[in-house]
Amino acid sequence: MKKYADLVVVAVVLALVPVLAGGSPYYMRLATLALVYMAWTVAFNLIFGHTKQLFLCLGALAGSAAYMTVVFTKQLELSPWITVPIGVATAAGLGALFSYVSVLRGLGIIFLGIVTLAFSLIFHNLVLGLRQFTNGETGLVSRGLGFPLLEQPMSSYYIFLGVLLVALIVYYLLMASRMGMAVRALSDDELTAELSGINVTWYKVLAAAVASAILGLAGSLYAFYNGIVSPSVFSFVSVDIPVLIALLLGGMRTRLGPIIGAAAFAVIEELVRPFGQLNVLVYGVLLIVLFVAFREGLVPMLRKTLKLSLP
Amino acid sequence: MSPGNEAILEAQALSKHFGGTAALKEVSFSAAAGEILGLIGPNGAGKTTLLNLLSGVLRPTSGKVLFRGRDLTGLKTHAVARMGIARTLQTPRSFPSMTVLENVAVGALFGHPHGRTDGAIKSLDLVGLGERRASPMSSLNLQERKMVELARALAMEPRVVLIDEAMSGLNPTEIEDSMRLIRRVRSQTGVTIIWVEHVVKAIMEVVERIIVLNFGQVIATGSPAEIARNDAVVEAYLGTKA
Repeated sequence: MKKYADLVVVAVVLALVPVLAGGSPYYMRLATLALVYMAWTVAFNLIFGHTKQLFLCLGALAGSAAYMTVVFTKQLELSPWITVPIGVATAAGLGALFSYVSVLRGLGIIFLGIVTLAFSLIFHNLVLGLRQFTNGETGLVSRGLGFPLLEQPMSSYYIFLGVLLVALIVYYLLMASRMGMAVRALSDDELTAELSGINVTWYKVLAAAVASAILGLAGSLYAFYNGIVSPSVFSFVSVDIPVLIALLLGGMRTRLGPIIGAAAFAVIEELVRPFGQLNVLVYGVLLIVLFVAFREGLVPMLRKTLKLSLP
Repeated sequence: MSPGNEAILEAQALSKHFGGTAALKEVSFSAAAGEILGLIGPNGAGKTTLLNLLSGVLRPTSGKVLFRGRDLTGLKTHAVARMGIARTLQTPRSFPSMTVLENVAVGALFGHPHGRTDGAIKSLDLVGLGERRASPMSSLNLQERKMVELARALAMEPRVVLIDEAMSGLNPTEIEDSMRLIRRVRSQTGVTIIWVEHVVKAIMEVVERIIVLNFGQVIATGSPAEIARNDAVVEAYLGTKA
């Protein structure tokens, strides 16, 4: 099982974080949020890193799942064991749909970016418009509706660690299968991949569906953990931008990149907190710098400079 | 087609229009199992369009492609590949992030009906790049990259290989090598080869039969010797005699 040594290291290190936090609720919340963003970044790595599909609707996908889950739990008084899977399926279905339409219509990376960005706007307006279900800008209180374990800081942390590990295991298994070779080939050259017998459509849609399911699962559970689900929780600025920064910073198409990147982003977020509303400006500048000058990411950089064999 | 040989790949009245322009008009021909069929014609004659229709990259406006009697029209590119029709491209396109062997293994893994990878090394040896298997693609020259593409196609163990310009951009020695290689590939694997080529001299010496396209239509079919004497062909390439 040497192949999965890094997974064990990640699991052990992250499992020890609460000890370092020393029971401080503030740091426990930061660490839990970092886990959510790690899971989201793992998902985005699969969509954008491996299959070059620029989904600019990560918040909207996670948010669709979250709203489906909370609204169904509240309005229909269903168990979260039923509504969380409904949310996950919604996100997976939407992600697969965007991917399928983009392959079918031959949308390039830019047009898929525009289509999914438009969906982000639609989602935001839909949440504001369907006030009777969503309670508009104010948001819905989800406290007490979901799993009791998600009301406690310590148990919540380990639940999200579990979600992250599930996401990582799914990701590792997919990449170790035929799909790993297929997505490497298709991200290099789609026509040559097709001519070699690879069903490019299937692998892109599969990657999008699996990744969107991960986005949705973390989103639905986050909605319960957060105690309130509102448009700002799942906005473009609160989800898509941090995840983009985390993935680019950590390193696309690497196993550890999303983990390291999201952890680094959590630290950056704390550092810029004193700037208040100007933090988005910092993120914008950071994103530009990353795209222009540091597209490789930390993991590939460490591999080169320190001659490490990081996965 | 030599008598007694079954047709493995058949085009029936294939037409392809791009907007109002017809790139191919009612092209029909058939390739016999195991033959090397040359496809020549001046620039813009529709040679690459024809290969795109045969490999499922484009759909014909009308007409049919039959492979061992089965209608392939409308199948996706990867499905056509898996059925046993491999294709190389005019400008070689590979998977730059992979090694030479990995490039070829992709063909064996996904293009072979049973997903076997043992054919990858065998076909790399066949094209003479067995020694370079661990090299990155960026270290290869144009001819070698063309050979990797051919090896990837062969690793799929296809029944038909469509070769789009194996010779363009090569020097005379490389052309000689490639000609020998194409003969060797056919004799060792028995695969049917449909070969589009600009370097007419090279194709004349290797193929058994030639189809000449001009303005999207078949203007002549025959042995290389017959084609060399054909007035319509000479006219298409050189213009009418004054």
